[in-house]
Amino acid sequence: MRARRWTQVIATLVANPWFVYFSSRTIYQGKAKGICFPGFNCYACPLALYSCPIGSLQHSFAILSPRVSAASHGARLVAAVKKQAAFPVSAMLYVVGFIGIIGVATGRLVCGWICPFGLLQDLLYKIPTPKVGLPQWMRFGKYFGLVVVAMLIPYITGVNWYSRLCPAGALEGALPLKVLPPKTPLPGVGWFFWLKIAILVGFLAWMVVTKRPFCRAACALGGAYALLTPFSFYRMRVDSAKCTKCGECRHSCPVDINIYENANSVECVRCLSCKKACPEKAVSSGFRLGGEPTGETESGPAA
Amino acid sequence: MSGFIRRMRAPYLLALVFVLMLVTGLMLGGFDKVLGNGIVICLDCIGLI
Repeated sequence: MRARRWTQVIATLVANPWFVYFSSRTIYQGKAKGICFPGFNCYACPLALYSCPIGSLQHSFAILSPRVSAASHGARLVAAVKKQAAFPVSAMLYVVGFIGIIGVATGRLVCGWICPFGLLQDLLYKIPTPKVGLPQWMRFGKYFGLVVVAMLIPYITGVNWYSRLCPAGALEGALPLKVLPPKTPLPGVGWFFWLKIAILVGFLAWMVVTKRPFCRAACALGGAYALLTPFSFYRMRVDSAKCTKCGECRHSCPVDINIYENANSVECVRCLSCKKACPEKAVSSGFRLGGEPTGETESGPAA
Repeated sequence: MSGFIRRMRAPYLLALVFVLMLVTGLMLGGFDKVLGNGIVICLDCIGLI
Protein backbone atom coordinates (compact mmCIF):
# COMPACT_ATOMS: atom_id res chain seq x y z
CA MET A 1 0.00 0.00 0.00
CA ARG A 2 1.26 3.45 -0.87
CA ALA A 3 2.53 5.90 1.77
CA ARG A 4 -0.42 8.25 1.21
CA ARG A 5 -2.97 5.48 1.68
CA TRP A 6 -1.25 4.39 4.90
CA THR A 7 -1.25 7.98 6.12
CA GLN A 8 -4.96 8.35 5.35
CA VAL A 9 -5.78 5.13 7.20
CA ILE A 10 -3.64 6.03 10.21
CA ALA A 11 -5.12 9.56 10.31
CA THR A 12 -8.63 8.06 10.25
CA LEU A 13 -7.72 5.86 13.23
CA VAL A 14 -6.10 8.77 15.06
CA ALA A 15 -9.30 10.78 14.59
CA ASN A 16 -11.53 7.88 15.68
CA PRO A 17 -9.78 5.77 18.33
CA TRP A 18 -12.56 5.69 20.97
CA PHE A 19 -13.30 1.96 20.63
CA VAL A 20 -14.29 2.00 24.31
CA TYR A 21 -17.69 3.09 22.96
CA PHE A 22 -18.50 -0.47 21.95
CA SER A 23 -18.48 -1.55 25.61
CA SER A 24 -19.35 1.68 27.46
CA ARG A 25 -21.85 3.17 24.96
CA THR A 26 -20.77 6.65 26.05
CA ILE A 27 -19.14 9.17 23.73
CA TYR A 28 -15.73 10.55 24.62
CA GLN A 29 -16.03 13.68 26.80
CA GLY A 30 -12.40 14.47 27.62
CA LYS A 31 -10.31 17.53 26.89
CA ALA A 32 -9.33 16.37 23.39
CA LYS A 33 -12.85 17.24 22.22
CA GLY A 34 -11.80 20.87 22.58
CA ILE A 35 -9.23 20.34 19.82
CA CYS A 36 -10.32 20.52 16.20
CA PHE A 37 -9.21 17.68 13.92
CA PRO A 38 -7.67 19.22 10.78
CA GLY A 39 -9.62 16.91 8.43
CA PHE A 40 -13.35 16.47 7.88
CA ASN A 41 -14.41 14.09 10.62
CA CYS A 42 -17.76 14.20 12.41
CA TYR A 43 -17.54 14.78 16.16
CA ALA A 44 -20.88 13.03 16.57
CA CYS A 45 -19.12 9.82 15.50
CA PRO A 46 -19.12 7.57 18.60
CA LEU A 47 -15.43 6.82 18.00
CA ALA A 48 -14.33 10.45 17.51
CA LEU A 49 -11.78 11.96 19.87
CA TYR A 50 -11.65 15.49 18.44
CA SER A 51 -14.07 18.15 17.26
CA CYS A 52 -15.02 18.79 13.64
CA PRO A 53 -13.59 22.18 12.59
CA ILE A 54 -16.65 23.02 10.48
CA GLY A 55 -19.06 21.93 13.22
CA SER A 56 -17.11 24.10 15.66
CA LEU A 57 -17.03 26.99 13.17
CA GLN A 58 -20.82 26.88 12.81
CA HIS A 59 -21.28 26.68 16.56
CA SER A 60 -18.97 29.66 17.02
CA PHE A 61 -21.17 31.72 14.65
CA ALA A 62 -24.43 30.34 16.05
CA ILE A 63 -23.59 31.47 19.59
CA LEU A 64 -23.01 34.98 18.21
CA SER A 65 -26.45 35.01 16.62
CA PRO A 66 -28.82 37.74 17.84
CA ARG A 67 -31.78 35.61 16.73
CA VAL A 68 -31.40 32.81 19.25
CA SER A 69 -34.37 32.55 21.59
CA ALA A 70 -35.99 29.77 23.55
CA ALA A 71 -39.12 30.06 21.46
CA SER A 72 -37.36 29.70 18.13
CA HIS A 73 -34.48 27.39 18.95
CA GLY A 74 -35.43 25.37 22.00
CA ALA A 75 -34.06 25.24 25.50
CA ARG A 76 -30.99 23.14 24.63
CA LEU A 77 -29.31 25.72 22.41
CA VAL A 78 -30.34 28.67 24.58
CA ALA A 79 -28.91 26.97 27.67
CA ALA A 80 -25.67 26.36 25.78
CA VAL A 81 -25.49 29.98 24.65
CA LYS A 82 -26.10 31.32 28.17
CA LYS A 83 -23.44 29.01 29.54
CA GLN A 84 -21.03 30.35 26.96
CA ALA A 85 -21.97 34.02 27.29
CA ALA A 86 -18.52 35.28 28.32
CA PHE A 87 -16.55 36.35 25.24
CA PRO A 88 -18.67 34.39 22.74
CA VAL A 89 -16.36 35.58 19.96
CA SER A 90 -13.49 33.56 21.47
CA ALA A 91 -14.71 30.30 19.91
CA MET A 92 -14.76 31.92 16.46
CA LEU A 93 -11.25 33.33 16.95
CA TYR A 94 -9.95 29.95 18.07
CA VAL A 95 -11.51 27.94 15.23
CA VAL A 96 -10.75 30.44 12.44
CA GLY A 97 -7.20 30.79 13.75
CA PHE A 98 -6.78 27.00 13.80
CA ILE A 99 -8.12 26.49 10.27
CA GLY A 100 -6.11 29.48 9.04
CA ILE A 101 -2.81 28.20 10.43
CA ILE A 102 -3.30 24.79 8.80
CA GLY A 103 -4.31 26.44 5.51
CA VAL A 104 -1.43 28.91 5.40
CA ALA A 105 1.07 26.21 6.31
CA THR A 106 -0.02 23.50 3.88
CA GLY A 107 -2.92 24.65 1.66
CA ARG A 108 -5.08 21.59 0.96
CA LEU A 109 -2.45 19.03 1.90
CA VAL A 110 -4.77 17.84 4.69
CA CYS A 111 -7.42 16.97 2.07
CA GLY A 112 -5.03 14.69 0.25
CA TRP A 113 -3.29 13.01 3.17
CA ILE A 114 -5.31 13.31 6.39
CA CYS A 115 -9.03 13.62 5.69
CA PRO A 116 -11.07 10.45 6.40
CA PHE A 117 -13.82 11.57 4.02
CA GLY A 118 -11.21 12.06 1.31
CA LEU A 119 -10.04 8.48 1.89
CA LEU A 120 -13.60 7.22 1.47
CA GLN A 121 -13.93 9.07 -1.83
CA ASP A 122 -10.58 7.79 -3.12
CA LEU A 123 -11.62 4.20 -2.35
CA LEU A 124 -15.14 4.44 -3.81
CA TYR A 125 -13.80 5.86 -7.07
CA LYS A 126 -11.78 2.67 -7.53
CA ILE A 127 -15.01 0.72 -8.12
CA PRO A 128 -14.96 -0.06 -11.85
CA THR A 129 -17.91 1.80 -13.40
CA PRO A 130 -18.31 4.36 -16.18
CA LYS A 131 -16.88 7.68 -14.91
CA VAL A 132 -18.10 11.26 -15.36
CA GLY A 133 -16.40 14.61 -14.80
CA LEU A 134 -17.47 17.47 -12.57
CA PRO A 135 -18.83 20.66 -14.19
CA GLN A 136 -16.55 23.63 -13.49
CA TRP A 137 -19.30 25.75 -11.94
CA MET A 138 -19.91 23.17 -9.21
CA ARG A 139 -16.50 23.93 -7.73
CA PHE A 140 -17.94 27.16 -6.32
CA GLY A 141 -20.20 25.04 -4.12
CA LYS A 142 -17.53 24.59 -1.47
CA TYR A 143 -17.18 28.36 -1.04
CA PHE A 144 -20.96 28.74 -0.84
CA GLY A 145 -20.96 25.96 1.76
CA LEU A 146 -18.27 27.70 3.78
CA VAL A 147 -19.40 31.32 3.66
CA VAL A 148 -23.17 31.00 3.43
CA VAL A 149 -24.15 27.65 4.94
CA ALA A 150 -21.44 27.24 7.59
CA MET A 151 -21.02 30.86 8.69
CA LEU A 152 -23.70 33.30 7.50
CA ILE A 153 -26.79 31.14 8.04
CA PRO A 154 -25.71 29.94 11.53
CA TYR A 155 -25.09 33.59 12.45
CA ILE A 156 -28.47 34.72 11.13
CA THR A 157 -30.57 31.80 12.37
CA GLY A 158 -28.54 30.35 15.23
CA VAL A 159 -28.85 26.91 13.62
CA ASN A 160 -26.00 24.74 12.27
CA TRP A 161 -27.41 24.13 8.80
CA TYR A 162 -24.23 22.70 7.30
CA SER A 163 -24.22 19.99 9.98
CA ARG A 164 -27.89 19.33 9.40
CA LEU A 165 -27.21 18.52 5.75
CA CYS A 166 -23.71 17.03 6.08
CA PRO A 167 -23.28 13.52 4.59
CA ALA A 168 -20.22 12.89 6.80
CA GLY A 169 -22.46 13.48 9.81
CA ALA A 170 -24.95 10.97 8.44
CA LEU A 171 -22.28 8.34 7.78
CA GLU A 172 -20.14 8.77 10.87
CA GLY A 173 -22.72 10.03 13.36
CA ALA A 174 -26.33 9.27 12.48
CA LEU A 175 -25.98 5.69 11.24
CA PRO A 176 -23.61 4.38 13.96
CA LEU A 177 -25.65 6.03 16.71
CA LYS A 178 -28.85 4.46 15.43
CA VAL A 179 -27.28 1.00 15.03
CA LEU A 180 -25.42 1.15 18.36
CA PRO A 181 -27.34 3.71 20.45
CA PRO A 182 -25.61 5.40 23.39
CA LYS A 183 -26.76 5.09 26.99
CA THR A 184 -28.07 8.66 26.77
CA PRO A 185 -31.54 8.43 25.21
CA LEU A 186 -31.78 10.04 21.78
CA PRO A 187 -34.89 11.43 20.09
CA GLY A 188 -36.63 9.17 17.61
CA VAL A 189 -35.96 9.11 13.89
CA GLY A 190 -37.78 11.87 12.02
CA TRP A 191 -37.94 13.03 8.44
CA PHE A 192 -34.68 14.99 8.82
CA PHE A 193 -32.82 11.78 9.52
CA TRP A 194 -34.06 10.31 6.26
CA LEU A 195 -33.19 13.52 4.40
CA LYS A 196 -29.62 13.17 5.66
CA ILE A 197 -29.53 9.53 4.62
CA ALA A 198 -30.80 10.47 1.15
CA ILE A 199 -28.06 13.13 0.81
CA LEU A 200 -25.49 10.58 1.97
CA VAL A 201 -26.65 7.94 -0.52
CA GLY A 202 -26.57 10.53 -3.29
CA PHE A 203 -23.01 11.52 -2.48
CA LEU A 204 -21.85 7.91 -2.10
CA ALA A 205 -23.21 7.08 -5.56
CA TRP A 206 -21.59 10.22 -6.96
CA MET A 207 -18.24 9.27 -5.39
CA VAL A 208 -18.25 6.02 -7.36
CA VAL A 209 -18.48 7.76 -10.73
CA THR A 210 -16.72 11.11 -10.13
CA LYS A 211 -13.37 11.93 -8.57
CA ARG A 212 -13.85 13.37 -5.06
CA PRO A 213 -17.16 15.18 -5.72
CA PHE A 214 -17.68 16.20 -2.09
CA CYS A 215 -14.18 17.72 -1.79
CA ARG A 216 -14.58 19.64 -5.02
CA ALA A 217 -18.22 20.73 -4.85
CA ALA A 218 -19.39 20.81 -1.25
CA CYS A 219 -16.68 20.62 1.43
CA ALA A 220 -16.62 23.82 3.48
CA LEU A 221 -13.31 22.84 5.08
CA GLY A 222 -11.79 22.20 1.66
CA GLY A 223 -13.13 25.60 0.62
CA ALA A 224 -11.39 27.27 3.56
CA TYR A 225 -8.09 25.56 2.81
CA ALA A 226 -8.51 26.32 -0.92
CA LEU A 227 -8.85 30.05 -0.21
CA LEU A 228 -5.52 29.92 1.62
CA THR A 229 -3.68 27.74 -0.91
CA PRO A 230 -2.29 30.72 -2.91
CA PHE A 231 -0.66 31.96 0.30
CA SER A 232 0.56 28.63 1.66
CA PHE A 233 4.14 27.88 2.56
CA TYR A 234 3.87 24.42 1.01
CA ARG A 235 4.29 24.85 -2.75
CA MET A 236 3.98 22.65 -5.80
CA ARG A 237 6.27 23.32 -8.76
CA VAL A 238 6.50 22.20 -12.35
CA ASP A 239 9.80 22.43 -14.20
CA SER A 240 8.77 23.98 -17.51
CA ALA A 241 11.93 22.71 -19.21
CA LYS A 242 11.12 19.10 -18.38
CA CYS A 243 7.30 19.08 -18.74
CA THR A 244 6.02 17.60 -22.00
CA LYS A 245 2.30 18.04 -21.17
CA CYS A 246 1.79 14.32 -21.63
CA GLY A 247 -1.24 14.32 -19.31
CA GLU A 248 -0.05 11.61 -16.92
CA CYS A 249 -0.47 14.09 -14.06
CA ARG A 250 -4.17 14.58 -14.76
CA HIS A 251 -4.70 10.86 -15.22
CA SER A 252 -3.36 10.18 -11.73
CA CYS A 253 -4.91 13.27 -10.10
CA PRO A 254 -7.77 12.62 -7.63
CA VAL A 255 -9.28 16.04 -8.38
CA ASP A 256 -8.74 15.96 -12.15
CA ILE A 257 -6.43 18.92 -12.74
CA ASN A 258 -3.47 19.56 -15.05
CA ILE A 259 -0.76 20.51 -12.61
CA TYR A 260 1.30 22.17 -15.39
CA GLU A 261 -1.46 24.72 -16.03
CA ASN A 262 -1.36 26.02 -12.45
CA ALA A 263 0.99 24.28 -10.06
CA ASN A 264 -0.74 25.79 -7.04
CA SER A 265 -4.35 25.49 -8.13
CA VAL A 266 -6.90 25.97 -5.37
CA GLU A 267 -8.34 22.58 -6.38
CA CYS A 268 -5.06 20.73 -5.77
CA VAL A 269 -5.16 18.55 -2.64
CA ARG A 270 -1.36 18.14 -2.64
CA CYS A 271 -1.61 14.35 -2.74
CA LEU A 272 1.59 14.29 -4.86
CA SER A 273 0.23 11.59 -7.18
CA CYS A 274 1.33 13.75 -10.12
CA LYS A 275 4.83 13.93 -8.72
CA LYS A 276 4.99 10.15 -8.66
CA ALA A 277 3.30 9.70 -12.03
CA CYS A 278 5.33 12.25 -14.01
CA PRO A 279 7.68 10.33 -16.36
CA GLU A 280 9.93 13.39 -16.71
CA LYS A 281 10.15 14.05 -12.96
CA ALA A 282 9.07 17.63 -13.68
CA VAL A 283 6.89 18.03 -10.58
CA SER A 284 8.40 18.96 -7.24
CA SER A 285 7.03 20.18 -3.94
CA GLY A 286 8.05 21.33 -0.50
CA PHE A 287 7.94 24.08 2.07
CA ARG A 288 9.39 27.29 0.68
CA LEU A 289 9.99 29.89 3.36
CA GLY A 290 12.34 32.11 1.41
CA GLY A 291 12.92 32.88 -2.27
CA GLU A 292 11.91 30.71 -5.21
CA PRO A 293 14.43 28.23 -6.64
CA THR A 294 15.66 28.99 -10.14
CA GLY A 295 14.74 26.94 -13.23
CA GLU A 296 11.25 26.09 -11.97
CA THR A 297 7.87 27.71 -12.27
CA GLU A 298 4.78 27.79 -10.10
CA SER A 299 2.40 28.44 -12.95
CA GLY A 300 3.60 26.08 -15.65
CA PRO A 301 5.78 26.30 -18.73
CA ALA A 302 6.20 29.53 -20.59
CA ALA A 303 4.11 29.92 -23.73
CA MET B 1 -0.49 37.17 -9.02
CA SER B 2 0.47 34.34 -6.70
CA GLY B 3 4.15 35.25 -7.04
CA PHE B 4 3.36 38.88 -6.29
CA ILE B 5 1.46 37.93 -3.17
CA ARG B 6 4.34 35.78 -1.98
CA ARG B 7 6.89 38.50 -2.62
CA MET B 8 4.79 40.82 -0.50
CA ARG B 9 5.23 38.40 2.39
CA ALA B 10 1.47 37.93 2.66
CA PRO B 11 1.88 34.34 3.91
CA TYR B 12 3.86 35.58 6.90
CA LEU B 13 1.32 38.30 7.66
CA LEU B 14 -1.56 35.84 7.35
CA ALA B 15 0.21 33.31 9.53
CA LEU B 16 0.77 36.02 12.15
CA VAL B 17 -2.90 37.08 12.02
CA PHE B 18 -4.12 33.49 12.42
CA VAL B 19 -1.70 32.75 15.26
CA LEU B 20 -2.89 35.89 17.05
CA MET B 21 -6.53 34.86 16.49
CA LEU B 22 -5.83 31.38 17.84
CA VAL B 23 -3.96 32.63 20.90
CA THR B 24 -6.57 35.32 21.63
CA GLY B 25 -9.37 32.79 21.22
CA LEU B 26 -7.68 30.37 23.60
CA MET B 27 -6.99 33.08 26.18
CA LEU B 28 -10.63 34.23 26.14
CA GLY B 29 -12.01 30.72 26.62
CA GLY B 30 -12.55 29.50 23.06
CA PHE B 31 -11.20 26.07 23.89
CA ASP B 32 -13.85 25.51 26.56
CA LYS B 33 -16.61 26.64 24.20
CA VAL B 34 -15.52 24.19 21.50
CA LEU B 35 -15.11 21.52 24.18
CA GLY B 36 -18.57 22.27 25.58
CA ASN B 37 -20.05 21.85 22.13
CA GLY B 38 -18.01 18.75 21.30
CA ILE B 39 -18.81 16.63 24.32
CA VAL B 40 -22.53 16.50 23.64
CA ILE B 41 -23.96 14.37 20.87
CA CYS B 42 -24.58 16.85 18.07
CA LEU B 43 -28.24 16.32 17.20
CA ASP B 44 -27.81 18.55 14.14
CA CYS B 45 -25.06 16.25 12.87
CA ILE B 46 -27.13 13.09 13.23
CA GLY B 47 -30.40 14.56 12.03
CA LEU B 48 -32.32 13.79 15.21
CA ILE B 49 -33.83 17.20 15.77
